Amino acid sequence: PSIHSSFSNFDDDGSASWRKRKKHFFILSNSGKPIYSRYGDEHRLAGFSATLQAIVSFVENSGDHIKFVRAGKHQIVFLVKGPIYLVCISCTEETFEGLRGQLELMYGQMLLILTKSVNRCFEKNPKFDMAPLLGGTDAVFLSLIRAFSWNPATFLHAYTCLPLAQATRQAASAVLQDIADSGVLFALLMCDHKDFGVFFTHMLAKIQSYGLPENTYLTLLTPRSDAFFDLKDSRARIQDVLLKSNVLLEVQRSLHENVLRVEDVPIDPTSQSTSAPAQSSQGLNSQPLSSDEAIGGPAGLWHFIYKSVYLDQYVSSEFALPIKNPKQQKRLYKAYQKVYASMHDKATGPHKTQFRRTEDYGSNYRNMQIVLSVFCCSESQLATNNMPLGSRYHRFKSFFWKQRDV
Amino acid sequence: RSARRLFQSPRSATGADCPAGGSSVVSVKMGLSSAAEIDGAQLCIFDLRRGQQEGQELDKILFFHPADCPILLQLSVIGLCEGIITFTRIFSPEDDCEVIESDKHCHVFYQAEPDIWMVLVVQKIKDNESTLRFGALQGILKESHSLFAMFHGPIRTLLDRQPSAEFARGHLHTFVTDYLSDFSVGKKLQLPTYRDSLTERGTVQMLTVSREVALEVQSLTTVLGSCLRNVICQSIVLFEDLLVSTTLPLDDTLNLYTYAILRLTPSALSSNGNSWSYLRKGGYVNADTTLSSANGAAAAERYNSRSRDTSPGGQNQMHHNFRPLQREKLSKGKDGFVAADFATTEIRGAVPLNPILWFHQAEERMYLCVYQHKNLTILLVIPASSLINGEEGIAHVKRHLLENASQNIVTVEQKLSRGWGGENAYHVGGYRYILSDPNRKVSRASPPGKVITLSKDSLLALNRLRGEIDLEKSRAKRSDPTHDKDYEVCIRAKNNAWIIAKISRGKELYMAIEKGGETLLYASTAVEKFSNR
Repeated sequence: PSIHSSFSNFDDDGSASWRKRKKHFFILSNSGKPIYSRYGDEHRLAGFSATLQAIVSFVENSGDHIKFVRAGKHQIVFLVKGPIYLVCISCTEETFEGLRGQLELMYGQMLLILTKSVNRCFEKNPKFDMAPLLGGTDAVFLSLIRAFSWNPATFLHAYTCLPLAQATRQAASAVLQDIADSGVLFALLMCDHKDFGVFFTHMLAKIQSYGLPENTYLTLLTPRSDAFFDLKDSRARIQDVLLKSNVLLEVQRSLHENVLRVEDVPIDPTSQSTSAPAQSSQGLNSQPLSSDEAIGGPAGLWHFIYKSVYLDQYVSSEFALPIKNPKQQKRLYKAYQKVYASMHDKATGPHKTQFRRTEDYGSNYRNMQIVLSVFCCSESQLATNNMPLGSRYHRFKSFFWKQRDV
Repeated sequence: RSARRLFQSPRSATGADCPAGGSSVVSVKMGLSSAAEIDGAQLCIFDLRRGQQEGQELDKILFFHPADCPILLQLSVIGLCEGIITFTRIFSPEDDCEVIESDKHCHVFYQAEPDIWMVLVVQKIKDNESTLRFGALQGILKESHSLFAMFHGPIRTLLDRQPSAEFARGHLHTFVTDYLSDFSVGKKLQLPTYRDSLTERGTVQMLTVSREVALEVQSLTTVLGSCLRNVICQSIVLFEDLLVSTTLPLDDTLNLYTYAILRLTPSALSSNGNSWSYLRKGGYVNADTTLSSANGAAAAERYNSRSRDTSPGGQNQMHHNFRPLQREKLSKGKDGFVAADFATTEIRGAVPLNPILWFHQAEERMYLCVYQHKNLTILLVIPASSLINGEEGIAHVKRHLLENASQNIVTVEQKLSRGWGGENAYHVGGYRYILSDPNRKVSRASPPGKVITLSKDSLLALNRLRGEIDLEKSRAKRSDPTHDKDYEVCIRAKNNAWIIAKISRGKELYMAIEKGGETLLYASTAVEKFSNR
């Protein structure tokens, strides 16, 4: 019997289907005990877990640390955090840096739930079975994994703000500052993943508050273990103020109305690209786009992300019509991630500018200066004809900055 | 055997000869020594169909460099490789394992023949991760295997004919060691790094000739082709280190061209004979005396005995120390023919050997005959099946060549010399580039003297970009092998240099421009100007 056939014992109870998935995540202990697995019952995958542990240990024993293995389109990425091993097996097109970053976030999520005292548990008992402690948290991990594909914050290492009038934002921040003396280290108000009031910049726990709209979250952090009632008080006070003031109304309205659209980017009247976008979309895809679909912003701009390096904040536009399809959007985020990883490579980065053009998704242009970064995606033919993106950069800069403060 | 067991420490091989007076550190208790303690790179070749029984793991190893590496460490390296190969097959049965990246090492894999794997283990320089490129390193494995198969036939064939593997191991040992001697600096191997990002192994560099000269070359080729009655001979003509013409299929041309550049052209021959160049290149490796590892020692003993190698390539290479890559054996005779003298000292008056090569694409075994006139090198390739009495037949062919082709040869050489602009003839001022056509296996690049002027930052960025593009190309090929995807990347690096990659209709251009404008428009215009030239 060949060696290959000895792996068939991973076909427990028909869970062979997990092998065909595009992206797996595994968390295991350094003694090979499974802790978390995205697909399949982690206990049934005990044998596989042990193999992963053996690989990591084998390399560690020789004085080295394994980073990843690549075979064709598959990448197996490893991350070791003390007694915890995290592994991602993926055949998506993501970069090693991207996947590694995702493993870091998975670890962070695990710590959020269990705190760092897990290290002490393993010190006391290397064969400690941590899996039961994570019981019921599947949804949390799945939501995080989903964010890897759909939330650019995961690779930009930045968060995004809800556009609000200055006054509203100040009011929200003020109400949080009021509770500072009750031992709260940090407070965060969020709506649909966009924050509108922030006190400090580290996030560790999330509580959905009663009385606030369902999509609004208040996060309070305190280092004191006996602070439960104080936190309850703080929460009630904040809630009161928010409900009585205009803040929440403004927030809900802003969610729906203050979106950034590529069509709103001002056209430079001195530029040459006054030609109708519809003409140039031929030849890119097999089916010609109608004149409606081809319209994006100026120079055929379809999407942009602007990140402020100093503030670690970003804003992004809505997807223009040509990329309304979720599959295309997912692919676009992957493209952004690749460009980002390329520009921020430790040895050769950061690059000042990068321009990419492929047949898949048009142009991807990124121009970075000290203060801000701009990612743009546009329909490639237009970009080639006009090569105007460099000159557009300055207009984008002022436009985005204004948008942030509304 | 479960997968896990593949990663356990190898037990000490029974019956193996341990190296006397080891200079390496071996942790006897663990059965493993730290791979990190081994200085420099390792190259191993192993057969997964062998050594599958407990205690027989040593049998897998066909070649290991350095040869004095402790047996337990060799087994440890191969154990890891085999384990990872098996592991990746779970998810990726169609695509081979390519690379293991760890903090301190990079393991590059290449499945040369079914179940015969070559792995290159490279030590990383700290903090400088982008210095290596997978494609460049794998290129070394591919090239060494292609050349080996040209002289000795496929490894699998050698193993099938002689399951004890003495000849396979012996031939691999001498051949690959000789091949690696080109990379040796002192005791270490200096493998391609970011400084070589404007080179492409596995391609031919061609000489562009005028129409008039092309016609002259064509008539020369015709004359060469008829050097043997009723049988067409194939030929390759080189001027300096560039290809002028070939009648062989693409892969075979590449193999023979590569060998010629390494050992047969005037510049290669001049460094063969110069003993000082050995010191520069790290010295002549005496394969016999370095066989101190158990596996190698046993093979060497049997190899040195008088047993004959009856493999297809071996019928002419019966002199057991046939080493086509051994520099000092090759020289140009007074008659203009370049020959290798592999005679052992016991056999007096031995005639210089004309090796038989195996041409994979042409599917034929052919004799190689090399003639050189000034800067012109002619590789004449004669079907072995047409020469009943090898050596006599070759002598006849040589006479025929001298009688009938001399005039053509002199004329072609004169015309090419006249038009030759020197090494910098293909240099395009202001650009540092490589232009390559992987489908035709042809490339053209800025001369090394010019590439050196690029800054380290530019070369690092270019190297990293090439690595990214390599990944994109493989992906594109997997999803649609028939269609060549276009791709374009322009980067303004942190040192303000423009690093550009452009793939269009299967052709690839990589470029670095250091003194350029600030805008993207400048960069794309520069590329267009270059393309027009």
